[in-house]
Amino acid sequence: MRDSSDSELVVQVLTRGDETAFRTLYRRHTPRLYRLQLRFAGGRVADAEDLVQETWLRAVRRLGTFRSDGQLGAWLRGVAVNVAREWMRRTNPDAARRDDTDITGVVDLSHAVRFAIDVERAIARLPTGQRAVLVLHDIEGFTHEEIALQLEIAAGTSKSQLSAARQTLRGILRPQRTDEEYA
Amino acid sequence: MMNDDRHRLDTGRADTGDFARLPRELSPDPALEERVVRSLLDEQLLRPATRRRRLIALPVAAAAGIALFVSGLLAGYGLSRWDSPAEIPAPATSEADPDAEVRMVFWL
Repeated sequence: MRDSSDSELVVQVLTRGDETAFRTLYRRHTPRLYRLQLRFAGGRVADAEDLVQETWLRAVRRLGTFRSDGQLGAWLRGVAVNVAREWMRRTNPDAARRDDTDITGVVDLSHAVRFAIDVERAIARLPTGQRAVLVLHDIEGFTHEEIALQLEIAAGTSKSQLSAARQTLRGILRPQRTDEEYA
Repeated sequence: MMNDDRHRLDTGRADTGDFARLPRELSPDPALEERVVRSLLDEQLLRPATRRRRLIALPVAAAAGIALFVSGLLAGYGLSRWDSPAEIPAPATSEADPDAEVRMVFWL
């Protein structure tokens, strides 16, 4: 089962509702979905878990629309972005407290890890719109046109949000990243 | 899909790297898997795995077996009452006729 392709597992879930096949798909794709949703949720674990659960529920309901020649991971990330977009509209994540932000989960604080933690924290502090565009463009690698489609905004808005996000990030990161700290 | 404009963070230092260095995966709490599977089972989008089905099937089969046994027992009891003659003469073993038992055996 673990060696089966995504397409084979999808067929088993679709035709038989195979729990074991689903669990294999879940374990294969959830780490990427979870990291993505954690970034959308500004580092709030409980929200990210809810978003992942909703992503899988929606994905399985719509599994029949997945084309077997496509990449399941990319398709799932598309579902995840839709779920996150709706969540961002429905709630007001910027107003939520960020005390429960749990981005680290690491013990080894090497330079690379510290850099990652700093950036993750900075991303979590961005306004929701800027954060979504920055995550999709700079981390996930989507184009502005693709982001415009996914977030239902204009491509120009995506570009301006990205520019603003980068500027905000620089403002957040510069004071933290002194020569003494990383010497 | 991939854009060719990966941003490098200009934070004034060369070793700060860029977004490509950020991890793309993180394993959530294992309990989330059970939560997701349970919600899919509740919506009947998944069927329980074989092991779980067997666990459910075992008590059901045991109950059915017991029910079958009890109904068989009751049916047998009912039939035996239906078929048995109302009165079977008791063998005559009175002291007044000591040969009665012997005659009964011959008669049989």
